[in-house]
Amino acid sequence: MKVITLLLLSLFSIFISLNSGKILLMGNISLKPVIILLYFATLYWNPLYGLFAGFFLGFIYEIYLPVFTGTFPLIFSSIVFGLHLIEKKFFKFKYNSLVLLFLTVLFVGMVKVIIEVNKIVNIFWVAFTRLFPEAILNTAIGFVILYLIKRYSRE
Amino acid sequence: MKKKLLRFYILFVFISLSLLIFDGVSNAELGNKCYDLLSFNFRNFFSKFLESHKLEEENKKLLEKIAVLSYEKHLFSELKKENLELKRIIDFKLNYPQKIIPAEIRRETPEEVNLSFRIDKGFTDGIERNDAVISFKGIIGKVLKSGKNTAVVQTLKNYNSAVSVKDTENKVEGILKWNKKFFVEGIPQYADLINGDTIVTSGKGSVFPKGLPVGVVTGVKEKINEYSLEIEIEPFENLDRVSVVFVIKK
Repeated sequence: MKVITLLLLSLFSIFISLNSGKILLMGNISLKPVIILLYFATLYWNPLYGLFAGFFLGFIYEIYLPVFTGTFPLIFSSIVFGLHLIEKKFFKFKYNSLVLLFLTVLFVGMVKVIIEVNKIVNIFWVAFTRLFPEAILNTAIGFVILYLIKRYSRE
Repeated sequence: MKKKLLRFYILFVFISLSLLIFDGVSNAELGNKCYDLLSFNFRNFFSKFLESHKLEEENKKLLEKIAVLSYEKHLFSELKKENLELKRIIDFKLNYPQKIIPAEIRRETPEEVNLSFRIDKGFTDGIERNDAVISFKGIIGKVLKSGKNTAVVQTLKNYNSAVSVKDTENKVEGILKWNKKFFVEGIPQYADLINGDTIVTSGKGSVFPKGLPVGVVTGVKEKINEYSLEIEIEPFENLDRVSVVFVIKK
């Protein structure tokens, strides 16, 4: 049952990821539901599920990016593994733990920018106009999800 | 759990790196093809959804238009046929030396079919009793009675009909009759008639002028104890399918 739920969530997130630019017109800012899914699946559900989801979603995620096959499975698997390693270093049910999500989105965004732009000349400009707003947006969504998790886990 | 996770992580890293190396070497375009399959044009989808009502109306209008056009096409096709028929009539009339009056057949009652029929011309058009009636291909019959605007034509498919005919090859003459099939009586046994010979009107008698095509010989039978041959005839014109006829004025 958990696997099916994860599969459905993965499909939904990848669907939104591939089409978010077409749904939301917010300049260059886009949703990163895949990152959010990986973050919450790893920390609040089962890191093994997060690892599998990260690896396979990576393949789908990278298909619209000009990268070699295997780049994003490697990045996502590493993110999941890294999150699992530092899981016990902080209290994940506190809202300030969302800084990890912020950094993760920032990191993935940075990788994408480097791949897309192919030069680091405008990286600071891009960081302020795109990466930070994107990370803030996704962290805000993470905030809502964490709030719901806390509320339902309390019940 | 941690060890298991580590094992899987190492495996995934290994696979990813292998693919990275392989993709870099082979320059495969697998990704682009997958993207085409998975990418879904949302805006088009929603715009199509919102415009569905508009499309429905447009579809309805187009269907109506198709119905009208289809009817018009049918009408044009009928007009074209009629035009060709009229052209044929004019040509036929021009090529015929005698005065002829074209007329259309009105089959008002099923009983009249094959035996006799009504035409849309009467004595106001100059049609009189016993005028010969022909079609494009051959003789049909004669006018039985003439009304003001219509006339009744008795076809050759009649037990009482008798037309003087002759063979174009041998010039032998006989009488064309009908008894469930057409046959020629009075041809002497010495006459050398064969299948395929053309039979035309001889001009004797008061109805049909000379030389009107009648039909072809389809069978020659010798009758024992009788002087004459029995000749079966296949008329040139199929009397069931005639729609336009010509009345020949005397």
